[in-house]
Amino acid sequence: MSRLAPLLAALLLTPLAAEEAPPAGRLGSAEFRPSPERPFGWRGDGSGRYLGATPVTEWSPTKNIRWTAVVGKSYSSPVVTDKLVLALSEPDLLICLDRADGKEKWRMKVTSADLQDAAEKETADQYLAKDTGHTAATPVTDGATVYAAFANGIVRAATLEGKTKWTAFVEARQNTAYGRSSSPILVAGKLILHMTNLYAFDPATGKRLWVNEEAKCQYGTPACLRQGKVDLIVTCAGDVIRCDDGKKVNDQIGNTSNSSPVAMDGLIYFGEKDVRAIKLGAEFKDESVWNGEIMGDVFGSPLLHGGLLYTVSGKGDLIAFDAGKKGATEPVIDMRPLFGDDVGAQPILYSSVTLAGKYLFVSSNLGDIVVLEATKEAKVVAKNRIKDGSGASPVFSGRDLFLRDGDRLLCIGN
Amino acid sequence: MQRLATDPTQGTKPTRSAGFVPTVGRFLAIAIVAVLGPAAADPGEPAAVNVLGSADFKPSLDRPVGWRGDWTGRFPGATPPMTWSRRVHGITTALRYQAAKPAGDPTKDSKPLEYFSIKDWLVSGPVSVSDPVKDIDQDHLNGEPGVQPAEAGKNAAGWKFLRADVDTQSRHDHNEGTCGQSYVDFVYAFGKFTADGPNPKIEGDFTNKAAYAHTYIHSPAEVKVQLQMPFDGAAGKFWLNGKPTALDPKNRGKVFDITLAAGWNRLLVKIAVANGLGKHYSGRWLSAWMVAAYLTPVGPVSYETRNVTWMTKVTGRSMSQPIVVGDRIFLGANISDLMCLSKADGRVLWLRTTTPFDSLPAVEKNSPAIKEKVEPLVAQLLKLNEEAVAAINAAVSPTGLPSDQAAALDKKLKEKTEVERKVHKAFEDLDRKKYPPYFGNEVSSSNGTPSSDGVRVYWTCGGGIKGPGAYGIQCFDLDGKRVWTNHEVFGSEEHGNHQSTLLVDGKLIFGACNTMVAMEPKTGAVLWKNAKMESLGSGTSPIAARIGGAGVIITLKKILRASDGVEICASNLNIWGDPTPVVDNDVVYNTSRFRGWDDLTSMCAIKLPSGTGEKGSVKPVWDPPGKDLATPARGTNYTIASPLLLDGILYGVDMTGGITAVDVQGQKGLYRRWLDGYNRYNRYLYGVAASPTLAGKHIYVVDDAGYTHLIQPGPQFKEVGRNVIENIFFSSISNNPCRQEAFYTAPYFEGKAMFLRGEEYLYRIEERTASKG
Repeated sequence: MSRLAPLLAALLLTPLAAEEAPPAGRLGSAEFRPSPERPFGWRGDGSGRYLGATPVTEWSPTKNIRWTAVVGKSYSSPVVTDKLVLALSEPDLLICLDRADGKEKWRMKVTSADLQDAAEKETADQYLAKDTGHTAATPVTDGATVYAAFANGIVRAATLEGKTKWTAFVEARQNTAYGRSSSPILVAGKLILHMTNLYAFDPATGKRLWVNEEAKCQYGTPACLRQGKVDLIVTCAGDVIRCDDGKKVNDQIGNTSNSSPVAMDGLIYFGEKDVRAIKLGAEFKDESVWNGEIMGDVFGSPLLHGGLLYTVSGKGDLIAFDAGKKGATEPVIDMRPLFGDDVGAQPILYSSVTLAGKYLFVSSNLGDIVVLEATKEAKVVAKNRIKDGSGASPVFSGRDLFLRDGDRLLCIGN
Repeated sequence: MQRLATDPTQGTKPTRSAGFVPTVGRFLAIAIVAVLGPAAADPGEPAAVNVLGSADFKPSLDRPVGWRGDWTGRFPGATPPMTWSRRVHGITTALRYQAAKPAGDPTKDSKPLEYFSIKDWLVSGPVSVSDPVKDIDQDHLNGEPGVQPAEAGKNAAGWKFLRADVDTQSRHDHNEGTCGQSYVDFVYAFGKFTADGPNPKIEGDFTNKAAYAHTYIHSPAEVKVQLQMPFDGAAGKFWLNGKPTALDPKNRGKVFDITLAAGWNRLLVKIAVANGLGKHYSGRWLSAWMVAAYLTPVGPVSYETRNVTWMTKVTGRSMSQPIVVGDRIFLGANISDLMCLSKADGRVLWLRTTTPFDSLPAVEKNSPAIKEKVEPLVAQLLKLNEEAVAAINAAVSPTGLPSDQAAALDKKLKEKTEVERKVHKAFEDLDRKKYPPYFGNEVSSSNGTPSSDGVRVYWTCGGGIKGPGAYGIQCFDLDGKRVWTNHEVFGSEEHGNHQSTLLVDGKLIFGACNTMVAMEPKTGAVLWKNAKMESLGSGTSPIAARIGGAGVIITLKKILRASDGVEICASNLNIWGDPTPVVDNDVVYNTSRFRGWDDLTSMCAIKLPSGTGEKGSVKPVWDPPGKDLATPARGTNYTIASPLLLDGILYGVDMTGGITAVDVQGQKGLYRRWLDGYNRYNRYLYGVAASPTLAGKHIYVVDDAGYTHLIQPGPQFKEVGRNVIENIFFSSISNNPCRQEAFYTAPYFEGKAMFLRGEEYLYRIEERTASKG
């Protein structure tokens, strides 16, 4: 793809995940500080790209492990600031660690006791988590506050010093079979939460600003983009919602269930069975730019980099499409097994493929991490192993790689 | 076999009421009153000759056939066989195994391999290890290679017997649970349970431990076979006749080529764990310390059968149940194939594949885009369908194809399927919102059971990728002439859509997600649509009942008037899973009543409203807690199979093969226990998904491994027969560990014949002589 193309496209369609930030402020650089304009949450800025990161590619129990902290299990990823690491833990914990040494700075339990309304309290108490637990949604921070949504409907905003700012509740009945995993995002001054319905909260007060009951959630996290002066939210089910008033402006533009769409370079990418790049035109009408197909289940979200759209199947097969194509297209990397040919019947990979510097990191639920060159060849650079693994995605900042490993959080770097 | 401690089978007799007439009379009543049928038949009508299941039963608009025959699962007029089999011709059928140390040749206590599984073991342990991976080579038996254990014998290791079955699995959770195989579950073997139910407690030390399991296998000659030992643990190792082999924790389904010696062989396996208790995110513990063993033949594989008249290859995987109309059989297959077979000889009479092309009016078919992009592919598909039919018919036989020849037919069907997908993709390219592809539905896009009024056959296919969800609703005459086709985009549930059509009050009913539609059967004209169904679920099909002479439709969450689709009230059935309820005398029965994650799934019955006004309500007839009625489970059980109501007893079967019988009048559990089956209980195989079905005097329960249990109806559990269909096919997508054909569907019965549908074949089973092939 031409290097000018994204810049030109950005004039018309500006993704909020600002790729062209100055190098020091690049996502993944050690100096990156989240802000309301550039929050840090699910897959960093939603893209899974930590361009400013310079991680190690190899480690072992005795090599390049900076620190280990026992934080408990969760499917969610940690989020980082320049000084802190924030992580959720089953079933109700929000934990803050010092990034330098992994020492715990504070933790808070988020329970129904903080709810004022008796009916809300009862509903939250009656919620019984299924497969994804209570804490599969990754929190998001704007550098001053961290926002966390729990599957029982409790939404918590806390300062980075560990003080509760507000607690809200989403009473909607769960509409997904295995639990809830869609992460909250900060868009144009609103906290957006896709929990059965699509909700907008005032980040300062927790006041509910609007709810859209048409846009039902699946498991993926919404993406956001700006078209002209309009901030839009795109759900994994393909609904397009205006951020200012919560009104739907289009639907069925794409379709995923487990994974999240990615908005970048003026297009919106969906990457499950039906892989598709969508352009929104006048009056938000959608146009399919290219599409492909993946056989088999995909749980992780796609990654756009260097003109390629990567993803990994639940069985650990790497797939990549040429994102510069038009119309129906075949993958340029077609189901290349990263973890062996016969991995059994059960999925082994829930996490998303992640870019750090010039490398792709793919981590299995079982603790195997493959590092690849982020190129069309996707040459394997290193294979690593951690003890237990997890379904969470890796997170990068500077030289640090943050990786969940069973009930532990590892900081890997040199 | 260990029974549930809570098995309440105490010989309780079911109480009868006016609603439950004696058996024979009841069957007549079914035939006459047709409670589930669309229109109340005249009680004075002579009916004895037209009992469902009898060879002379003739479906009509008043007495249609479809899901579970007449939506009840009862074929009282049938007289099917009680024994049949299809077994691998060769060594695995001749092998025997036993846990006890053999004293000579195999005895009656030596077991044949069923579903290629070794289920009887002696287990020993646990022993402590410092590092489960490094210490896997430590010998804790003072001579592992030479060990020849005997139960509770002199060996210090203290061997004890364990039959690896559903009731010796410590957890039954169907997704991340530990009941996916017939495991030797060391947590069960060495742990102490304090309760069954969703959250059983476990006591024991399972940290840094190792344990052994041992069995003896007898082979009549030196032979090569394949051994699979899927396991959970940090490290594993097995010894065959003393020769060690490491299990691969990175490839837990690895197939080992082994040679069995003539006579008795010794198989010892050791599994070491860092922590034998895994943890579910809900906080529940799971066993992470298990091993299973399968012995499968080296290909190519041929078979011998008993009482299989013919078996016909179907065009692809599906849960669609066959139906019989006159001399023909109809069933769905693959993405969108409706197959019509000759009942007598199993030959395919016609095959129709439905794509959006079939719903287009002539003017649209002639549009340049369709002419250019779609029509050539449709023509190609029709040609490939003809070739597929010819290839299938050439292979119809009592024994089926050997595995090497089956591959060629699979290739032909795959070619056809690929073109069919291209047709859908072409439509998607034209308008992806109007034409989301039919394919991609869970299990298959052809899961619905056809229905028929004796003149035409009705069927739906589609569902597609979860989310968008399009459907082809279609009607053919019995000779395969397409009468009409409707294309609808109703959306698709998270686990796809598997509902069947319903005929009620002269209307054809179908629904998915939020929308239910009634059509005129002759023309497909839409009579009404209700787009406020909230959810129709994935698997719960609509059923019909009558209130004051008017037809009503009972769905997952709502009850509608058949006349105009207007909601009467909520159904309040709280169905958990995918069963379709049954209705009798204005009472609707559900054998999978959700009571929360911490309570046992139970049963319930509701009484229909007295009228069809819009503000009606159902009344609970009984809704007892699960402690007496619940199907047995250690974990969150799940149910796909629908209930069977028979002589005042309600039978339910869950995915683990847990069978429960309840006296509906006394609201009292009669028995609950597990079937001694071979079902694989996981998210890809669905365990026991087929509904219990009455044929003649017995209840037939099919598990996903191809075993059919014959149960004698009554207040006490009595299994009177067990039969197996073995079919290893190497293109299997079922995730059965031995590539065994999976069975998800209840049989259909007519006269002396039983029509059993697997992923690969439709089998006609009846009394006949043995065949080899």
